[in-house]
Amino acid sequence: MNRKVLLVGLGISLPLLVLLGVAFRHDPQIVDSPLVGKPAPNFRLADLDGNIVDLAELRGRPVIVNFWATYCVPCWAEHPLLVEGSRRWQGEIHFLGVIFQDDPDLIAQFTAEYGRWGPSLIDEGGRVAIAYGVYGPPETFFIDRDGVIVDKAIGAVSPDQLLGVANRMLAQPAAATG
Amino acid sequence: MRRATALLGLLAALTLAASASAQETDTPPRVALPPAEGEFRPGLGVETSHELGDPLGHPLSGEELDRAVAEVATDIRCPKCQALSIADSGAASAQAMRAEARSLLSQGYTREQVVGYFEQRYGEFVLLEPRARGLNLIVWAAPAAIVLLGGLLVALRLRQRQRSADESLDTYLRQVEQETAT
Repeated sequence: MNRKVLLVGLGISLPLLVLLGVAFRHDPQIVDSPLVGKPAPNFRLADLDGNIVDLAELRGRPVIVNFWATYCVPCWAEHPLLVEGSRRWQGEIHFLGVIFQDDPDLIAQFTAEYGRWGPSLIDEGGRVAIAYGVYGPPETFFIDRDGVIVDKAIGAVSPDQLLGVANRMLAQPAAATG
Repeated sequence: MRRATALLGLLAALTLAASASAQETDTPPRVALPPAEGEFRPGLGVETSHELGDPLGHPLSGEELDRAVAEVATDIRCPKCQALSIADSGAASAQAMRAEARSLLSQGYTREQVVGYFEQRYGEFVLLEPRARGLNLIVWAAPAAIVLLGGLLVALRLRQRQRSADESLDTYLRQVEQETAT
């Protein structure tokens, strides 16, 4: 009888323990984006100076789109890296910032003080953030020459990821152009 | 080590600068909230129509639109909250998503199309009620399976107890018969 109870107990608890073990290895805050491998939603937004940026017109060169805000501490942490990246790949990769629920004046103050890595675009109504399925800043989307999202970083982008994905995008020849 | 210290220093300086600027201005920072319908600047925004396809319903307005928005909003999880729908959350993201749902429903997109649009963008995580397919079936089937298994165990146990009670009664009766016969 005791053996039977033990077997039933093990039969119930073992699968639960395995499930817990698997689940604990995955950060619940990180949700894989269904957009990776799909065409990037096209947007047309104004930057802080009123210049219009149309994503479709940037086709042919890789684009890094970063959703950020001044109230977001990881955004500050990754800021110097993005500044450095935009300098290193100037003329090769477009860097675009999309303001995520923040005051454009604060963004202007921040970039004036700490440097800018690309235009900061005003996303009225947060519709672009919704189209990209942004959970919260910072999130970075890597878009290849053909306008396909090839990777996404949640939280502050790491130097390894930036370097790795940028080099991969630059090495890839444009397939669908012309 | 030096880099880490420098980074920490930068963060501390930025925190101080942010708090100082917040103290200087009495007004809270302006947050880009979703505009009311039709307030989007013409020509700006994001293209979604080709991803959504043609609207399969009829354009809603007035109270019908309010009801439909409220219904859709209860299906969608607020991405910035813990297990709260966008109907129940006051977060700016939830407001933006409600505004997007309103805009789509007013253009004639159906509830399924709107929910499908959010799912395409955020993944299935954005649905408060997971779809009954694949591994999700465990979530749907587990409660019924546990109740069924529990019921089965109780029934088996009762049957076993009844059987052992019958057996002891039989033994007792046989014993009584034997004793009365002698």
